[in-house]
Amino acid sequence: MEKIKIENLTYCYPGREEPALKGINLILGEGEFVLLIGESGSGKSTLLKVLSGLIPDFYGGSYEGEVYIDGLKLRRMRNRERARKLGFLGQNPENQLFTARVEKELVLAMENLGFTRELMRKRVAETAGFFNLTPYLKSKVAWLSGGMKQKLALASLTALGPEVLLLDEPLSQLDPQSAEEILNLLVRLNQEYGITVVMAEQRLEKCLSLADRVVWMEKGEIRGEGTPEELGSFWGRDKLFLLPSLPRLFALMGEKKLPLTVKEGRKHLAAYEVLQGGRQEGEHGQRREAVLQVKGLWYAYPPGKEVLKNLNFTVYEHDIWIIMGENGAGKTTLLKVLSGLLPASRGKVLFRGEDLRDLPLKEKSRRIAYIPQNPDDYFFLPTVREEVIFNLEQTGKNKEEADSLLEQFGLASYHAFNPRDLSMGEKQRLLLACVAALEPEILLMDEPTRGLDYKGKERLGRWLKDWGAKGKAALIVSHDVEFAAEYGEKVMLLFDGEIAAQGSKYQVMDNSLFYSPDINRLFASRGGGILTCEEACAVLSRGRVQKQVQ
Amino acid sequence: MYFYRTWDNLIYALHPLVLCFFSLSIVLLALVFSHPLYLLSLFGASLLVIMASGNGEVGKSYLFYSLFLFLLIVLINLFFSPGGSTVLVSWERGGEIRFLTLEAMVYGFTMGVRLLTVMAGFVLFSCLVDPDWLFDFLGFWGDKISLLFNLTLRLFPLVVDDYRRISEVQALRGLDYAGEKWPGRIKGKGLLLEALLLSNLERAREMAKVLSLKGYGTGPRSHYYHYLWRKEDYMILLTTFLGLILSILAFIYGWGRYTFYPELTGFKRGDYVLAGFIFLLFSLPALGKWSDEVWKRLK
Repeated sequence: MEKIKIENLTYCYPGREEPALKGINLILGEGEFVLLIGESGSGKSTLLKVLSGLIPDFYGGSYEGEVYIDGLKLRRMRNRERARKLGFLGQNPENQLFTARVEKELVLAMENLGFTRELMRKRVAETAGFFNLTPYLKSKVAWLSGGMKQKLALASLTALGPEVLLLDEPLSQLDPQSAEEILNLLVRLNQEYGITVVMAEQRLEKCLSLADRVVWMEKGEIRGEGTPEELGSFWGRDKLFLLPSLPRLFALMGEKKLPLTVKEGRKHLAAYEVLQGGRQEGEHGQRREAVLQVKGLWYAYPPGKEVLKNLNFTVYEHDIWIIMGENGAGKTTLLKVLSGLLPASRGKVLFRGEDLRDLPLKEKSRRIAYIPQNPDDYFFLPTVREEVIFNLEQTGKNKEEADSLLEQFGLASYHAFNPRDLSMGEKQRLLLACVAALEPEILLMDEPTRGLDYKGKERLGRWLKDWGAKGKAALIVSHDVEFAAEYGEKVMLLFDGEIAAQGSKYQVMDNSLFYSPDINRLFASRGGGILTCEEACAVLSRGRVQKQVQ
Repeated sequence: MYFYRTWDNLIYALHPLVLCFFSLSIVLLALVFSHPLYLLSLFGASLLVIMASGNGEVGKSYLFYSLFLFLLIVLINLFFSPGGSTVLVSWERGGEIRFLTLEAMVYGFTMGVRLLTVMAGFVLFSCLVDPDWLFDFLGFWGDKISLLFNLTLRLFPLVVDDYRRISEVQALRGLDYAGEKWPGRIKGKGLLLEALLLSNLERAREMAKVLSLKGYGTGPRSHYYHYLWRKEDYMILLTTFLGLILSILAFIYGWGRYTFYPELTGFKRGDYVLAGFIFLLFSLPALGKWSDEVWKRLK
């Protein structure tokens, strides 16, 4: 039965000439789990805003075509009815919540829609139980973690008993554990309660296998749709990088029906012969000097809670370290201590053999670059060009170089834009342009892949490899296991403020229980040692050749 | 609200409307009175309630920063106010005789106490009044007023947090406010504040969007919580109301005013009695809370 029908939808944001959506026609069935995929700026979020009624009511703009919910025109629907039927969840949990206490947040939408007290009480009991929020009902919302906040935002929508859930990259700001929890809840809401789910998401490795149907968008148009297993068939070889590594591997091997989980992947793998090899540990021929030496480092936040405990490691030139670990393990604090923002409680941080504390701030800011989790925290000047010029001036370089840097990072046409008006991918490029202008000796980045699409991640990864090749070092905090496997060189696993493991990515990630990429799990029973799609492709190709020879 | 957290005590068990009325009455009376005795009694009573409610730490940090302003007011008044006849110190500068007077000092002190009392009233308001109740309460007067007020309250802690985070990152980028000369420092801070304002306007818009999706402003609202009125609520409401009436009468009949210039007038017995009454009436929530604890212990 059809739940949502979109007919010839074309939409243009106010003040823009190029439509954000062009001639969209789509039918979504009742109880379907539909995944909208595509690069940043492809129109996924805009389509969700149309379905929620935010467009044109909240954003304005020119709108053609029609959207029907249960056969009724969406634009004719009263706001109250729309709010009851359609639940919309955005990216940032911080912006979804409005009240001081958890229980009040759960009932807020119900109060707005005039539910009776008895019904609200019943819904609170049911929803709090389903989402496991009962122990937190009297807690302050501000005390919850990011994952809990997103769960609460979803719970407050669910309490209304919606028929459709519209989700705009709800996992992009979450750590893997929280993302997993939200996905499990969504699957239950979809499968057990028949709620239609329409979700736009970049972290496909987690949610591709859950969807009934995938809709691929590009430049405001729907370019293809089908089951997730069929993705390879409607994507050309040039688009395969948009796929998670596991289905990408088999798409590259020319398979039409792609496996989406490790379990399915192993069945496919049985048809191949796997040669030994794959491990390609990089060795730099040149002599590598230590950039940062961390010796017996401890850090405690007042009033004495120890967050970092006796850390010892050395970062050499050419090193690209990925620091992983659960939330609260001390990753961000470590970056702050290494950048000189927080003083070590005990132990030493030596930068090029000199105590970091003795380095003047001006010198520190020139030689060590710190990129925060939220790119907006880095930008404070009114234009893109001025941001780059600021960093050029820090190193005494000619400000005319700004134009060539902007050109190099594909930002020349945005030079007069306010950095905050850029898309996530563009902001990332601007950050890299700023770092290139500064040319520090070591780069510290906190969760740089958050909110990036596959193309953005690939661009960042390639840039990091070039960075390392230039003899520079980088320490990157990330939850993204696939990114670490693909572009990292060394991996550190932090647990409760201590180093649980450190070494080359092969030493730490190969056969790791949870901090290993899907590709590695796929090959676990075949000797392991393979972390990336490229490595896997190489051994599988060779296997095929060998089969033919025999 | 920024400091709002609940403690298990009698003050937090009071109806939010009573707590709202109580704290706003303190602010109002602090603005009305100019008599040092009355202001001191009001300030003393509000301090007691802050401590008794379990918000001593918040009050201490807030009032600590207000003390700088208090000192500034006293000093500015002492050095720049020409009035007063009781000379404390005098000296000659450029052929002109300069002097500091007792009246100017007492006037500055009284205005400083007024500031501290107003601050204490706001601390009480932000610590005691449940923001979720306030959201519903203001909704009676209009969705937009309630939305605006609550967006502001909701954004305040986020702005403080943003400011700290962005300043840290910019310091690491080499934006050294402390090292710059004044024009550079002002320019740097200005740019930072502009960035902060932009991101928070964006955030406010996002939050308003989410609220509209949750059906806010689409019709009559219902209410989940039912706040009970108990005898303690009536008692505190009555005593606060009594304090307010008494103070208004004092103001109308001129008892609440005090003459500083050209010479300080002395305190009358009636002033002490009235100040004592005001102290007693406004410290009743604290006294009630402590006597409740003593009573429970004795039982």
